[in-house]
Amino acid sequence: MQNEAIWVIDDDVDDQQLVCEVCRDLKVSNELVFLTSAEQALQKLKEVSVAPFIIICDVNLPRMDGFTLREKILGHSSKKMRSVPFIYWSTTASEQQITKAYNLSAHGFFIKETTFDELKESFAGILKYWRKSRMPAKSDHS
Amino acid sequence: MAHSGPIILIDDDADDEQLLREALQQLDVPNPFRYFDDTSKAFAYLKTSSESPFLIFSDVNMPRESGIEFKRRIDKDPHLRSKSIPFVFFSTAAGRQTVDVAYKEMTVQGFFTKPVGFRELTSTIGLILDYWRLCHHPNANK
Repeated sequence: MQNEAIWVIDDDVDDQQLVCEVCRDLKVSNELVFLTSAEQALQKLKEVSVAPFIIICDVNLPRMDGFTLREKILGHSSKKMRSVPFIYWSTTASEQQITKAYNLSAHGFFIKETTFDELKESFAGILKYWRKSRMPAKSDHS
Repeated sequence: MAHSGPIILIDDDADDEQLLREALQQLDVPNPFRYFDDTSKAFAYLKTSSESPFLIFSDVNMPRESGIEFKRRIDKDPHLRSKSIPFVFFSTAAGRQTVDVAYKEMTVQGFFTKPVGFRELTSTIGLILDYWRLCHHPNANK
């Protein structure tokens, strides 16, 4: 249960590295899947049969941003993909961006913390919350 | 700050209200607490109140309108939809299918099983509140 992969969509390699270290520190056993663009995430969505546990997505991505990606996921034919908790994280956030995120049915909006310990605390909070929460079926056969 | 806005509970069971109230006290939660024993009262409050609620906890199984129908009604209302108040289900016994419907046919920001013991309840409520305190929220400056 809830051991599906965690997807992190972020074009910043340093941030990916930080997430890796945070997850190692937190002894996260879920597989971490890093995707560097929205296009790559959409391609990956097509390929997998089991939906990820959660998706953590940067707002500012090259070419297609995190909002457009979310719109595309919400329009996806598979309900199990549409229903994956979708959490934004971003270095900065304007009021407008936050409103937009929630209008797109986001499941949270976090600021990328600048220190390792703060980032770790954020991640621990996100993981605890979604592990405790019941989840929809992740594949069509469960 | 919406982070200091009221916490809403919709539950037909007054015992659960009492328990949540005590858990919030135990956690020293400063937010006001608003309780409704059925969804029509809660809906009227959400429509007319000028308050910016921090979080909505809703039971699923209620005698008149279920929590699922209630959330559907909120999603259909343009004004309430735009308020984007985080909405979590809090249910004693919800089947797999109900959890699926909640995620796949509407947006919920979590689906929690009501814990049996008071300590467990307090810790679950604590982690839910931590998550939403860390999160950026659309009405944060209103």
